[in-house]
Amino acid sequence: MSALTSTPTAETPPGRLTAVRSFFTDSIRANPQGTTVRAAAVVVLLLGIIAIPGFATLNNFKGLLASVSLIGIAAAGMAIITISGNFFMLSMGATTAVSTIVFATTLSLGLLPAIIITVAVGTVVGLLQGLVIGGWGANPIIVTIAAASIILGAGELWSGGLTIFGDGDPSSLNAVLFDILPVQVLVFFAVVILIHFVIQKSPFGRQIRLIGSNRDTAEFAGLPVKRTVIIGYVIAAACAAMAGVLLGAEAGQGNLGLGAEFDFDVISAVLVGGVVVTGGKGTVLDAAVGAVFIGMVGNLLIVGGQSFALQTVIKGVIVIVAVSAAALLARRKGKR
Amino acid sequence: MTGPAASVPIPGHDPATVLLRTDGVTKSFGGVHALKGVDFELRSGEVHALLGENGAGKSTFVKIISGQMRADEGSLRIGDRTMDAAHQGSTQATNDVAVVHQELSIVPTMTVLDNLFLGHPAVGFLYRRRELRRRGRAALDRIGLGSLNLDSLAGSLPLAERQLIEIARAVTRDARIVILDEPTATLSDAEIERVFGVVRELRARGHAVVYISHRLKEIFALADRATVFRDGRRISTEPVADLTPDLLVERIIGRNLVKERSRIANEDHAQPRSIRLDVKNLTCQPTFRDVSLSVAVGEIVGVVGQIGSGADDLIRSLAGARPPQAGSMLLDGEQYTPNSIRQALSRGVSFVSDDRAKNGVFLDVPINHNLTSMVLSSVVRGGIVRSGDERRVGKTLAKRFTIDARRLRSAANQLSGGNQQKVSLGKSAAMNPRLLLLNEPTRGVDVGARSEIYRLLRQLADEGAAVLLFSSDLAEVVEICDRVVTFFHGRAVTELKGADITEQSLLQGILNPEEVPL
Repeated sequence: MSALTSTPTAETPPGRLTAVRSFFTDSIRANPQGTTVRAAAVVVLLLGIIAIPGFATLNNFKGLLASVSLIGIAAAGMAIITISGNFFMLSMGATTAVSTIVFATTLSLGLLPAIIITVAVGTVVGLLQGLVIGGWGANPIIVTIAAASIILGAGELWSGGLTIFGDGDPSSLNAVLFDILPVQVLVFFAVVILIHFVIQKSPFGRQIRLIGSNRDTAEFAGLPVKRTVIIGYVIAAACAAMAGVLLGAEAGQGNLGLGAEFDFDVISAVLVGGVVVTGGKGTVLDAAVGAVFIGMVGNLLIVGGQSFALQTVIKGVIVIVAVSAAALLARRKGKR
Repeated sequence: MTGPAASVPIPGHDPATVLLRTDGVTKSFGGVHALKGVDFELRSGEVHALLGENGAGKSTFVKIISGQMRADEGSLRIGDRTMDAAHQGSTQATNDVAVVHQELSIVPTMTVLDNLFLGHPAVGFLYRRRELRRRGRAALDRIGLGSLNLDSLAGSLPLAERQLIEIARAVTRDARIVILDEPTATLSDAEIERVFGVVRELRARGHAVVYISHRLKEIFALADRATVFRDGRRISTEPVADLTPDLLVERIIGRNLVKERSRIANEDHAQPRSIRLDVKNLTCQPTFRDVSLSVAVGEIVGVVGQIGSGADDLIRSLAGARPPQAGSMLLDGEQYTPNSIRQALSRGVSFVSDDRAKNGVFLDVPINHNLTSMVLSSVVRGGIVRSGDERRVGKTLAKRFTIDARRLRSAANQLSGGNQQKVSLGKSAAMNPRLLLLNEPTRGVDVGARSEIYRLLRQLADEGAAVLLFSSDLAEVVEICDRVVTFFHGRAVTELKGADITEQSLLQGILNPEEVPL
């Protein structure tokens, strides 16, 4: 204990060089994994630019970002759940899948109403899960797995198991603005920036982080724990629904098969980005970076001529390396 | 009851046989001596009481003789095996020495039998149920629990029987030495009598029993010899027959340590102050009943009592964590019935818990976020947490609670225990509570930070808060409280004021007062 009080950092005089260095050491100490992933992303990027022909083209970058947009949007929502200490929302893929159906079904009312209705349905789905988990204290993993079953089953009953082709024109969601910025990517960026800001700067976000850090202390401090957790689920499910809107528009149909493997991809992004699974640590931006990083590695492999199967293997390896590294870093920190 | 029989030596057990001996056992933590040169011996067929205030070194000593910890210096002999400091702390010792802790290590969802053989060396890869049943039965018979069903779920048994199962577990291991650490703290009188019966039975069979208790009545009823620890040293070992309660209390406190009351306590009793909290006949089964007390503005009131006395539970109930079942509470003359901590806070009642790591501070969160966590709205403008405002508020609070303002951005777990406690206090006091409740305000806090915390509490009281605290550290209570209410078995027993508050008078209040007139 006495060793902790005598850390020499407090006495270091603030020169410019040390200021720069302390900026880096501070950020590494505050979030070792997130910083490492960002550094790894830069390395992979440079490697790709130098070594893989066809990687560093505008079109490829456009495609890369578009391919991770949906996962990135959902990961922003998932990050809220993880930061709040509730691990993962395992009904996100189901919500996204059913949202493609809701979107396709309501498209005849017009594009904007369809988006609004789909996201609204998503928030209701999130609200119900949030009430059970945040309000009653039920286990978040079990509740969201069960919710996934209910959501998919209800979607199946509603659609009769058929693919639904929307009666309307969603093509503006697939547009590429100024020939360079796909609408999906725009939505991805907007959602991430908005939610990142909310989590870092709003009182709600502060409470999410405090609750994730220590729920007991949060309750003893009189924070509105239940309400905050419930709102977290509402936002997360809304993100999944938004991803469903874009997915439905892209595929031109509503289909429950869309969005399979979605949960794992989203969780991978959150973990690889450096959001800590026990809660309280990491940011929404970290999760977005994680999504882009995984997408970039996959993209490199494909452009480099490797198979989809190998890509899947590598994705799993990255997740395991990331969580192992996090565990090792945490252990070293504990020893210090 | 079994008194006369117990003194008859059992064949094969020479009562003079020394089962355990320590020579010059010394142990320090971070430069602070917890034990200094302790010589001690334990004989077959005796109940040996271990006494001393909190922090006197009893628990460190128990850990060393039970093999959970290694001494820095000194040797330990158990039976005919001698271990110098380098060879202690191994699991070898634990087969001879069994410790029954205050906190039960009984698994409620398992049967009595399974609990008896939990982690037992006789349980190998296969669970030989019939053999174990036989041995378990024998162990229960031996300690007078023959009527107990081996297949009952441990959780369905009364507390005393669970306590006794722990003792039976020690017997199944043929542990010659059984250490009981406040075994009766949470038990009723009838249940205590059963534990006594078992202890006498163990003694009669030639075991040595180390009995740790703060209840003098029990020591005189049960023990053969008593050893007193103070400040890490063994002060005395005497036959209980040669002792009186007065003498024992004197040994525990040390005459020269009966200090004059520190001037920090508020002597300004002449001025009548308005009553902030008025509690009448408050009952919360099973922890306390019929408690009445009041706290005035500017006053620091202490509630003290042993574990299980209900004094700490009263604090929790007032904080909204455990709503009482009956009685009335008035806060500034208005009805006060908190059903949750949130409700209590909304009335200006703030609570500093005794368990910082669990629910006192956000350990991996920056210090200033900790400090503002309960007054977040004061640093929010336009729906955004303003970091400039937060820094300012954080700095002010850090200054007020003597926390290093340069470290506001480090995580709370970078601080020492004492500074963490100041963060915990600062966070709860940031809202300027009308009533500040504290449980063990300085547990695990070094001496320097301790006196700072006392000063802060006085300052908060002077600024118009009412302070009510529970502490098991009597010296601390003497130092900071204007008034003290002592608890025994769930009831408020005596009230002490001003200069009447001494460690001696407090000790008399929390030990059973009617039965042991000191």
